[in-house]
Amino acid sequence: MAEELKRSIQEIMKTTPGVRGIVIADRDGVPIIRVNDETVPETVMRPGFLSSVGFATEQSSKLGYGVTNHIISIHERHQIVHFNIPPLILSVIADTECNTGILLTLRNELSDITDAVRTAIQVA
Amino acid sequence: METHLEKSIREVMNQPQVTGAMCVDSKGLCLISKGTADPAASGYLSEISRCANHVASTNEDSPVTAIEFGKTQILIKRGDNVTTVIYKDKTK
Amino acid sequence: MGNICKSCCGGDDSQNDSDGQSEQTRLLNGATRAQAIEPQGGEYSTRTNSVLKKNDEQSALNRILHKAASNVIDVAALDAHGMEQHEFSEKAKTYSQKLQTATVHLKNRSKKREPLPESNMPVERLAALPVISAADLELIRNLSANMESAYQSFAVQHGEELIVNFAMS
Repeated sequence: MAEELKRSIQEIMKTTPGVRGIVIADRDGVPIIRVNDETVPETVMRPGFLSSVGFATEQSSKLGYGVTNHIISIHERHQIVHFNIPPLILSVIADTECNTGILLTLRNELSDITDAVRTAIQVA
Repeated sequence: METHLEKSIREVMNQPQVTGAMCVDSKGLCLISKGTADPAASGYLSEISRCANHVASTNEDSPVTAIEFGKTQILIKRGDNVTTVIYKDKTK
Repeated sequence: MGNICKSCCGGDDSQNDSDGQSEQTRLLNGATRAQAIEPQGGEYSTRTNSVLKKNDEQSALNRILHKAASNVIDVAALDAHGMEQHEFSEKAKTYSQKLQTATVHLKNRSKKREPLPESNMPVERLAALPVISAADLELIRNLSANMESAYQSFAVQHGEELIVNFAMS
């Protein structure tokens, strides 16, 4: 099933120009599925970074505005959108110039895939 | 911070045939939306107008893009900092 | 726990603190009143009852403490949750096994993006339609100009302090 999921993710990446990588990880930062091209720095795919995202999501839910939906970080060479889809974190890495509004629609576009992953890993 | 924005949008909503309006920033994120304007479409609408500006843009003014449906119409204009969107119902 | 005490002992609301620690206030009041209506069963049962009451109080206070701690934003705790390298690899292996054995079918993706609806109008009529009326052009140009000037006037209005120091004395 992993191959089928990766293929679907690649299709979506092809139709959204500027998207360089997609990672689905758990709250502790352990990557479950990742699809990326060579422009994405390796550090972004590692548990060391992804665990801090899970942590930031959890802490920002305490700000008094309810549960965190997503976190957008725009850097010099990349932008990353992290979606909070309990118990998963979906991260989309794209070029800085990419339209962030379009990246936000990927949550919906990838919902079939994130549902499938969630069902698969929650099996005992 | 957004009172000026709110005021402008409220004025436009009172115009005949206008059913919705939206203002989108340069990253495609919705700043404000009213009526039938869908904030989830903000990214795509700003991207459409960006492409239109590449196709035809003079020194004086950027083009107005219209998306025509049977009964409704979406007007988009991309400025230097924000993209403005108006939804119109042609049957009213 | 506070609610249970309130229902069986009748919480005394007149002593509610203004700083919102009503849970704690109610609990202590409830415990005090419960001791007053203790059954008279000899020295042994009295001591057992008071020990039980103390344990209840302790666990209730612990619960309140944990609840408060879970609401506190603790940035320094990021390192505290660090997992070992081998734990990461074990988990990663487990996930990949689960994905391999799972047989969840993805819904047909091509249905998600709906194609443009069919138009009943003949092409010649469509092409001959007036593009944008002058009034509409004026409308959108005006709104665009207003939005641009509104955008220029964006400024953060500082209200109350977001970060305060706790008095440590």
